[in-house]
Amino acid sequence: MGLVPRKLLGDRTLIEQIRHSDSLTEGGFYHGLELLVEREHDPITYERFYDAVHSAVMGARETSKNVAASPGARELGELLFALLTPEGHAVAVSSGLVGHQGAFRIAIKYMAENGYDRNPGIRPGDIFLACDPATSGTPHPGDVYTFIPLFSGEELIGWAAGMNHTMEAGGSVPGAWPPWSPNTFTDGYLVPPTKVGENYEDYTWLYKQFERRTRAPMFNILDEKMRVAGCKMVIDSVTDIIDKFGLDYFKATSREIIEETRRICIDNVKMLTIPGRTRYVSFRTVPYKGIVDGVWPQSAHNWLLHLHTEVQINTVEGKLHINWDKISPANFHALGGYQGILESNLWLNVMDAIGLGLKPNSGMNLAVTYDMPQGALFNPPSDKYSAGNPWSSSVPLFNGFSSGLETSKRARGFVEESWNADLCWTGIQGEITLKDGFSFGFCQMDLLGASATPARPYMDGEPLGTAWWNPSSDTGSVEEWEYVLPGIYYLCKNVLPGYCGHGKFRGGLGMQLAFVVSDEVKEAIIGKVGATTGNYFTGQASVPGGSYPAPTSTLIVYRGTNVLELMRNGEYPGGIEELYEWIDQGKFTHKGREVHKEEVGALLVRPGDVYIVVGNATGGWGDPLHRAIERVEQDVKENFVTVEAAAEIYGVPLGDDASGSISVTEGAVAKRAEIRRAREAASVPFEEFWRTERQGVVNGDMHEFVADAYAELKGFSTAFKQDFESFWQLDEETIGAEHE
Amino acid sequence: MTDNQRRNIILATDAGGTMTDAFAVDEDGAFSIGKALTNKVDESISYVQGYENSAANWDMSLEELHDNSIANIYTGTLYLNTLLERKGRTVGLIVTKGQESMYIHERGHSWIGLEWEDVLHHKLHHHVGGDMFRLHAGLVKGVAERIASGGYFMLAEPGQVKVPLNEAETRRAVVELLDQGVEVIGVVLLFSYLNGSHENRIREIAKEVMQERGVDVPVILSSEIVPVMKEVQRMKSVLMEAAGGPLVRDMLMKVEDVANSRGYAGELTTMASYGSIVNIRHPRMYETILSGPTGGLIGAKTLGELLGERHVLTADIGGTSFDVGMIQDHHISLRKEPDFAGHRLALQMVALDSIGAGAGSEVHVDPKFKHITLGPQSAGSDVGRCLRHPVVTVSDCNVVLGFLDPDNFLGGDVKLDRDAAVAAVRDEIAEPLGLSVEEAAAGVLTVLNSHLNHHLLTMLKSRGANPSEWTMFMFGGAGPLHMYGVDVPFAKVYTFPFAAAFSAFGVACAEYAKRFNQGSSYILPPAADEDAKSAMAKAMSETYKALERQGKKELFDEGKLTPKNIEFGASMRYVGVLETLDVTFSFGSINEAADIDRAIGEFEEQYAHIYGRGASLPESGFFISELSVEVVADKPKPVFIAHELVGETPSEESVTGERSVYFSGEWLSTKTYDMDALQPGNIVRGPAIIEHPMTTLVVPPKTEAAFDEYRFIEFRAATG
Amino acid sequence: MSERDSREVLRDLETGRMSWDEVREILRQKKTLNRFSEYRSALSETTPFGDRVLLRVGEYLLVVCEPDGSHAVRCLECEHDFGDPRVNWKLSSRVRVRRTLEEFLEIYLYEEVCPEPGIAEVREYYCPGCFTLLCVECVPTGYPPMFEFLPDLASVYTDILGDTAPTDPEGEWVFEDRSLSKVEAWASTTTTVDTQGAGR
Repeated sequence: MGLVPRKLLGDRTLIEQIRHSDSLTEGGFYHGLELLVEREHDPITYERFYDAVHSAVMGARETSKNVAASPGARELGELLFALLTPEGHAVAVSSGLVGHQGAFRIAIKYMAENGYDRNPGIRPGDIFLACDPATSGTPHPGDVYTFIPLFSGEELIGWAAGMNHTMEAGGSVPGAWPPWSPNTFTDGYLVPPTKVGENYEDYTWLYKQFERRTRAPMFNILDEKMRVAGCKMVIDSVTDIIDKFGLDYFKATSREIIEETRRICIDNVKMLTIPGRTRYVSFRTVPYKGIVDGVWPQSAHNWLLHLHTEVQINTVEGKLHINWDKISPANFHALGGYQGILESNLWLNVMDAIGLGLKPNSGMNLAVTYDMPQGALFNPPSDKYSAGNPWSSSVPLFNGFSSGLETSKRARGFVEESWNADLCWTGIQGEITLKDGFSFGFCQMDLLGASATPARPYMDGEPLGTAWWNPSSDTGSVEEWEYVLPGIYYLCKNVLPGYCGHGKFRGGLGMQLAFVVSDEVKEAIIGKVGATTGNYFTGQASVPGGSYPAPTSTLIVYRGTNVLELMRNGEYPGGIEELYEWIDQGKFTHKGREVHKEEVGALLVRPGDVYIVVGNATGGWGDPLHRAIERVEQDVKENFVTVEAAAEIYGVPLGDDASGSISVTEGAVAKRAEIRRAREAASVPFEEFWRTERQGVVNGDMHEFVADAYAELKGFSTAFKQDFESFWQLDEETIGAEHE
Repeated sequence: MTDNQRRNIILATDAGGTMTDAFAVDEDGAFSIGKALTNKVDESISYVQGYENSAANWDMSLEELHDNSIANIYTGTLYLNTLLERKGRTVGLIVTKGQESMYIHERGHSWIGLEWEDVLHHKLHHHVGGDMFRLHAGLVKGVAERIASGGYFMLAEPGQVKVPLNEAETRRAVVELLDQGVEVIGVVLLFSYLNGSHENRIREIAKEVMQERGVDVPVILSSEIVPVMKEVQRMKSVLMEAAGGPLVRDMLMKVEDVANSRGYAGELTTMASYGSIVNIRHPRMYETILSGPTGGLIGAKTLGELLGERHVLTADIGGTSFDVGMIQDHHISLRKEPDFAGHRLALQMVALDSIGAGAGSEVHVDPKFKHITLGPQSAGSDVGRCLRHPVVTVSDCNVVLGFLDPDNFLGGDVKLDRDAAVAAVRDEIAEPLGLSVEEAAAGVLTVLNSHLNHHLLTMLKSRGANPSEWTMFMFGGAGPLHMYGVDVPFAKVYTFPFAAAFSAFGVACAEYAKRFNQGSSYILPPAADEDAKSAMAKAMSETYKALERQGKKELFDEGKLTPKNIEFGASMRYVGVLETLDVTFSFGSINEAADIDRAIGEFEEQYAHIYGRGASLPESGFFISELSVEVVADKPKPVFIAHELVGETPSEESVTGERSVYFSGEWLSTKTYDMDALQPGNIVRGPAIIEHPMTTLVVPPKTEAAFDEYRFIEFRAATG
Repeated sequence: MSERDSREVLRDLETGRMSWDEVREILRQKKTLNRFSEYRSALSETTPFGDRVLLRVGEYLLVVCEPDGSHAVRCLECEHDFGDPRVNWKLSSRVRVRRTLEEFLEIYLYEEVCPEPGIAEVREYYCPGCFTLLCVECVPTGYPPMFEFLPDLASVYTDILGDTAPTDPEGEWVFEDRSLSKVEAWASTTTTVDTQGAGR
């Protein structure tokens, strides 16, 4: 077939079809579906049809993941299959990394806009691969999408889509989320939507590209085989379904399912929320200065990202609108991104916040509107900006969206459905070099497979309790990971006592993972990324429930330790508490220590080095002084909270501190009264705070990091400038006057 | 009673939380079920009551029944209830230092047991943790030690000691646990399935400490009872064994004592979750924890062999769920990590996929969005609005449409209120959906059937299987009621007159076997030479022999049984691929290099069959992660006698009446039949309803139910 | 929401007195539109404000309809009045600011996971009446306080309660952020701060 324009959709080309559908949707109803005709006419057949397409994608996932190589896909279920409309809207999605369906249509649109239906052509059995945030919706380089078109005769009637998070993306530093990546050219092996095979078979060059351009080619090749196998299963199953239900029914009902979901979201907003405005903010830091200066001068900067989310809730219309008018601008660092990361996150957060009783699909993206200003962090001025690590910044950004809805749902009385939305993850990645020089890259998803759950108005959070990006959360097994990452030994994978936001109900305890590099390998490179990392701040700035937000995560590296020798003698520290004791005793020795709260791209570690990753804690709910005394006692008994924290944070003296003559309750009553008095003594009326803090602002009495950020924000966001200056009652004159 | 000719009877007990079913089947395949309220304090009491009833059905005394019985299999929910009620023994746990939180974080498995809609509802995620075992941090002790796996690159010899066991810490841990009064100690060390020496040494130390203190507490090692990969699942199995095993065994011993005192000459047996019978002296009681649902598959396997059906898909439809299982090439598909009460275990278990919708499921309709949701709540013995359940159910729909006779439900013991069912379907389903009552009721059944069909198809596709090569068996109390809904092009679809008691029947069919899965770490590079293969074969051969010896010894110790058959196999995968395939070798054990090639050949063939040739990856090498041995002994099984076929036309006596039944959009006058009166060779053509005290078979127009020489019922398109 | 009185159920839930099995049951139940009124009944019984409670805006803060028909944010522990819900209640609270590592360590226990001194500060907002902790904020130095939740009371009355819209002394109740009114007042005065923290 030559390069003849093809009308793949009856009388329309793909781009004509997309424009047609978008124009129908502009009226408010998806694809103009004011009436859900098939559903009204025969709700039973409608449900059967959805059951059929949903089974098709679920079955594809369950089967194809067995082919998969990478631990992320198989062991942790970090993959997704979906059936899409011709325009790329998801009708049904499998379990797994559910949010990505929000982004699939970006790649489809890109292919349409660029005339792929003419060249290279879109034919049955063709395989299209995409992993390029700027063009294809994939949030970051490690997320890879595969599409296979679904035809009925000559007509394009949909797509099968498969995605997974791969082990290594071939970027500037090893791993799949390069945090040190100034621009798109250092992000890794990026592929805009590309035809990579036909007749359900990949071209050889694709595998050769993976071999040359990534550090874990075997895993990446197997993952592609898995995605193709799954898409083929979706195509086969859906073809059977069309035979059974008829083509016209398939076309009409697929779209009704999407519109139905959108309507349920609208209804849920009306039923679950209180109207008004919510604002939450998180801060993340990108300290590149001193790391990249020599090579990438545009990136020789320390950024403070302002991740401010305002949600406007309208219960009359059932509408949610996100206003990001105060967000930081895009810059040459890895924590920005493109539309795909927004759509993926949006879907996940809609699911979590208002996604009750619906068929999960693209209708959820259609239920919320947003403004991401041109030039902002997630809408960069050109396609040359990096999207190496946008999950790290977008997750806290969207925690602000969820926090708003959680606050609003709680106000409406849905106590059970509220928590503080302080979700988090920490990724470990790197590259291991064996003694013979062979090396391979990896992502270790121990703390990506699950976050702690946040505290709720009625219960504590739990360690590794959920992951809203992968509802079937799983961090994998230590024994499996040591097979995949040989030569690096876990010293521990445990909860870290007291590591959470404290409150009437505690946040979920975070984890500590300690590793030793053994002398079985030559060396390794490690990095740390994630939604609780890269920051000098708490998880969110403030949380629903009003208690302490989650502490940050950290990477601690001890160089040149004696731990291999200790191990030979039957000893090693089982966690940082013991490690610190041993350092004090001189039992554990080292030649240097580094602490990285920020994200780290590549640290070289050698045999005998120990590194510890601490992460995935969540924030609390309510005043710790209101925590039930039995709960505090229980926490101490379980070693979740130390005796000191029980006394000083919770006001419950236990153990040696508690005098034998009074009961724990009496002791707590007295201690809590004392803490309240201390609060009084240590605090000032807000007005006084306003005057002193204002003075600091006026005098420019702040860290360069912060001062630069305010200057940048005021230059980029009029709304921020206005808010900031009016709150502190600043103008050029005032500042001038005060300085005099 | 003296004329009683029943011989070679097999007894199979299903002791549920409420009722104990005492099932007896004789050598002619005739069976009797006795029922008793389960006595939770002493199950030997309900055992006796049940079989007194069962014997009475055959005009026998319990002693006569016992005297003529050749096998006695006791299964139930005792294990589950003991643990759910937190009545297990107090367990102290010793783990590799640094892994003490395993029981809290559960590697993120906070959603086990939830339906997919609920999995998406994150606020429903919750760790079951150590609650069921009353485990808390003070009862979990870490000790420094480390065994290496070597990883995929074999950087260290698999099983090599990286950190010697810290004996001082071990001693301290034991002392602290004993101080807290633990009744049993479980030991779970990383990679202990590759080298159990540290776990063994911990037990020695523990025993020394106990001797000093004059106490004796059992010590259970993961390397002994569950030597397979993945530490969290292994730990769960150890906890189950430690907390529940001995208590359950004690109760079973009581039952055995009573049976023996009332005339039963043999020893009592129970079911292992991998589908075999084991003596109640079996050293790994946790393997019996999920024995209940295995019966159906064993029964299906037995009947599949009888009928010459190699590939059988089974659906057991009960009140609250339907369970789908597979028998491929006469082998029951097993799974390694089944879920149990929110825990994921390391345990070989028959692979059953359970869907939370069944004949008694509640029906919920969202009036605005016209959604129909079935389950997961179920009416249980309250049936539906037609009896005393407050919410409309699938059963109400079956009553409305005339499929179930309100006056002849469960043989007429319970009267159902059809008017109440009609009103409920009208108010709660039909009106919100804008449908007629009949359309609404039929619609609900269509939705249930569609769940079933998609499930069956998905299961087949996941094995690369073509339905036309498969036979479907439907059973369970509601199996025959819903079998017309099967819409997958199977070669044949069967049900059985004893469909309602199929699980118990299956238990009676089970073989006596011991299964062992030993974790290993054999990595065979793609270009391995003969020497490497020989060395590997030698090591494997030793393991196989040891397991075989253990199996034979256990069989001998427990019932002086001798094996009739030993099967060898392995869990294999391509290096890098995480999903293993369990292969049972056609050629026996591995002893020499050539056997390795044979094993790989069989693995590759099966892998390609399921995932396609394109998925194979021999260039990355092979990883053998487990070796398995199954030692099977002879056990009497029910025998089916082929009868002479009589004519196709059912006798006059088999017709019990006629009623109006709603089939595909219209009410049809439909004959009803008595299932017990239908003869081999009879064919019942639809529309018809065939009734039995424990089940109902629906035969719509254009279909028929044909009774074969065994009185098994083939359901098919009408031939005449 | 259950056979038990819905107010009791909500109270038990909120006080953490429920077993997980019960919580799970409530999570699975279908949500209904009458929840808001059930919840208000529960609040009216457990707080000192009776039927005057409109809605909850924080763990310890309620919007209450005052006898004169105006609305105010009040502490449910001590009834302290924070004033107009359209003005960020934080502006009427007491603040403690933590800036040093030592101060951070009191609440975050490990140096390595604390906010970064010099860049971040932690503000604890207390009720001036009872010194209950109402909100914690970890922000850069000089960052204006967040106004997390500004409810649209007019919409609550008309759309959710099916009632008439409230009025205030100026007439029709307007949905707008009025926090600046307070700040502007401070800016216009040079008097020293009320160190007693008596609030309004």
